[in-house]
Amino acid sequence: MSEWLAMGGHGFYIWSSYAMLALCVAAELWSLRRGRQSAWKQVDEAREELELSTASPEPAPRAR
Amino acid sequence: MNTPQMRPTPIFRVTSALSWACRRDLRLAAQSRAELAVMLVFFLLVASLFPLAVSPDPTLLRAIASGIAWVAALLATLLGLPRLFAADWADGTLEQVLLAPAPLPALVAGKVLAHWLTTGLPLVALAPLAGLQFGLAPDAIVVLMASLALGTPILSWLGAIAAALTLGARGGASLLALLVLPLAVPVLIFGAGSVESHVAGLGADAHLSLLGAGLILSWVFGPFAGALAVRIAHE
Amino acid sequence: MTTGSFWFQFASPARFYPLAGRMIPWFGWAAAALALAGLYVGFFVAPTDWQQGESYRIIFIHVPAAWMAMFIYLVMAFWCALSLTLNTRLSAMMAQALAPTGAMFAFVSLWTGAFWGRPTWGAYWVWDARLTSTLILLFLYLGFMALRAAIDDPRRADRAAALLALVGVVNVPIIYFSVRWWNTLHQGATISMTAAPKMAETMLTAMLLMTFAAWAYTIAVALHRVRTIMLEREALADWVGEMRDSGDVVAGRKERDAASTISRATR
Repeated sequence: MSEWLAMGGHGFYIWSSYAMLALCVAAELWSLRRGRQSAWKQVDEAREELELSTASPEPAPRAR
Repeated sequence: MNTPQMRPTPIFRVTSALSWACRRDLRLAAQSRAELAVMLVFFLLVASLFPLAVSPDPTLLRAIASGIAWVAALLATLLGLPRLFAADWADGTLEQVLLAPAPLPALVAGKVLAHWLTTGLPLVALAPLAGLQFGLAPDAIVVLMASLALGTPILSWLGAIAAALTLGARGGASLLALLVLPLAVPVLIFGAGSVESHVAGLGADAHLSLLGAGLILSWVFGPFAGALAVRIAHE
Repeated sequence: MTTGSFWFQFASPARFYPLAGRMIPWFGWAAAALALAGLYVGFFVAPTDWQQGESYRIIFIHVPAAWMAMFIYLVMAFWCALSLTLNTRLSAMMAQALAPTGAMFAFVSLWTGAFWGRPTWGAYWVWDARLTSTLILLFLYLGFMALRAAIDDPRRADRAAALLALVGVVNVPIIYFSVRWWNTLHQGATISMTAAPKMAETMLTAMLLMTFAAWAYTIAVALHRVRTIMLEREALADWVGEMRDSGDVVAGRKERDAASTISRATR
């Protein structure tokens, strides 16, 4: 097994390359997830703002 | 702003629009001659940095001379690009130009021509100085001047399109550089390569003809791309 | 109904959002399966190269990445051309969605190229024509993304970046040609990464499988990203509101619940 991993002495180069690809793919998938969550947050915020601005004005709370 | 008097025939509309825009920009440039001088000094300064940073060895310098001259010319052109549209954009003149009955591509072409006359052409004239600094032979200097004369207008066009696209965008000069430099690589390769090829005895014909072809292409497509970019900037 | 007008209905984000959502799992799983098959063939079936030893196995990701970087730019430019001529928002969003993946592949291509070059030709970076062109391609991608980010108005950003991409795509063959010219003239070492060793059929199979995997991956990622972009840019549209309130699109509901949990927790 460790012989196969060593890849005839070239193990460092091969696994660095594949590791970088894996890292980039993982980073991209993670950024997709984060982007989607942040997009929904933006949607929620934008719609709340819209609702607030079009809502009928409430009477000012009476100070006691 | 005085719109030019238009004659009915289309070709006169194009040439009179072009010459009007060019003359106007030249007049404006003449008012800020110091800025232009600074750009030319920048060219010589950048070229001088290389021997200081690398080595004063004459053989080495002669080998990299055309590359340095071309990179310096490229950077000096980049310096002058923001002012191509920035002033007119800021005071609203550019918007007026958009609404004018004159063909926008011709007006943009006039501005780019003026830009080249005040940036590229002086660089061509200064090239012998840089060439001498690096010990280039006179015939090589002539090839360098020819390559710059053919290449700097292409740089002006690439730069003009990028400058119009970045109007009103954040990021300023570095964004402009990021947009222009990759596109300018072929011009750099053929421009600097022409001198090397000539010095190696292989002749600069191929390089210079390719630059010439690029020049024609940039003048054919540039005006329309530039006009579109200016329109996009005003949406 | 003509075929033209059938497809045009999907130019509306409201229609395209659920369609894209249904397509993503297919392409995602296809990518995973193809990649597993490709890696299996590449590592366990393909023989050791008599010239390069084991290090050649990097080409199974280097070459597909390089091809994808180039191909994605072409597809991106196609969507940009559509967005300028037809003035559709969705075409511009597709281009926006493709750019980061293209840049990623360009970067991976350069990295793997360097790590392939070191054991094979002794240097991490050789100014090989294709590697250099890919480097410039990476700069073109970054320029596209930077210009988009620098313009605040989304529609203006769409059109400005589209024009930039079109100018870029016209330049790409010129850049490649000029870099190849420059490279052959300065032929010190006859290093060429394009002159692949005569490949055993198994090597070719592995490479093709990985290329198809990269393709499927790109489509899945781009569809996911374009859905996110649609949400951001169409936040106040009716269809987004309906989806948010009713949890209509299955995938949408799961994300919305997750997002509202997070936003409530961080409020």
